[in-house]
Amino acid sequence: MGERRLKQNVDDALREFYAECGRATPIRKLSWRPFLVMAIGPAAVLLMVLVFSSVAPSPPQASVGQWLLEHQERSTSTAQATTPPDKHSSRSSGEPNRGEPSGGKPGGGKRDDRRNACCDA
Amino acid sequence: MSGFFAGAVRVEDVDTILRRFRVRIYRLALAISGASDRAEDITQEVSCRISAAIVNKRDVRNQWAWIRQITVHCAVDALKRRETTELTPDLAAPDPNIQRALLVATTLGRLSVEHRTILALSFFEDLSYQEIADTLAIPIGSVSSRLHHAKIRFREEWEKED
Repeated sequence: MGERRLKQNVDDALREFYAECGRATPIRKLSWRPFLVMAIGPAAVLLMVLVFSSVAPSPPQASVGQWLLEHQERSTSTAQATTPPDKHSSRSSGEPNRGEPSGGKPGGGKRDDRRNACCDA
Repeated sequence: MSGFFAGAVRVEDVDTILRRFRVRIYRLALAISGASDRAEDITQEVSCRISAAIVNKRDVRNQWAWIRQITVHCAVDALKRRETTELTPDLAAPDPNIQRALLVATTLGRLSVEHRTILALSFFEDLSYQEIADTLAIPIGSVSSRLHHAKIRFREEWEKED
């Protein structure tokens, strides 16, 4: 009978229940971690992008392809410079040999042409 | 000022708004979810959404109507994510009529999320049909029929407890 009286008025029961909800207070405090993630997250990502872009060798502004080409050329020329020089290469490099004039004579060019012809043969 | 969040947004603004509405958000979340731990989770999620919206400088005229809408959506999402939506009655502030309150909570737990939400908006928030329609983004005719069915379902479940 008491149970029946308890459930007599649905509306009253609902109102009482919601009034109870209206008196409740949260126990747990808000966690600031999600807020920090939201606030710091984008800034951290931006910072990482900036750091990595400054550390990585950046191609010049023209284009990546051009940059690669230049990089390749530079590396091949460096490799050539480090190989031990042979006779021909020392001569062709423009170093004056013993007894030979260092240049300035109009005939010097002719001699070089002859030497090159010898090399080609 | 055209809206509450118009103009420059500072951290203090976010903090003030969350302080002002936190308890209210929690109570509405509790009325819909029926469990204090779930209400706490919903409050946290709502707070995050609000702060994100404030940072994005969203212009809002009616603060509580806007926050209420977010709270209802968060609560419905949270309850739908769970496999069982049945409540575990757990009221944060017990009173002498706790037995009856627990019975109501158990009965509400057997209702669908939609029915529970509309009962909370009608009985707890005391909203008009138009306000409920705006909050849930449904036509006003659907509000009256849904509320009617919610009460019938509640009464059926209530009587089953006899």
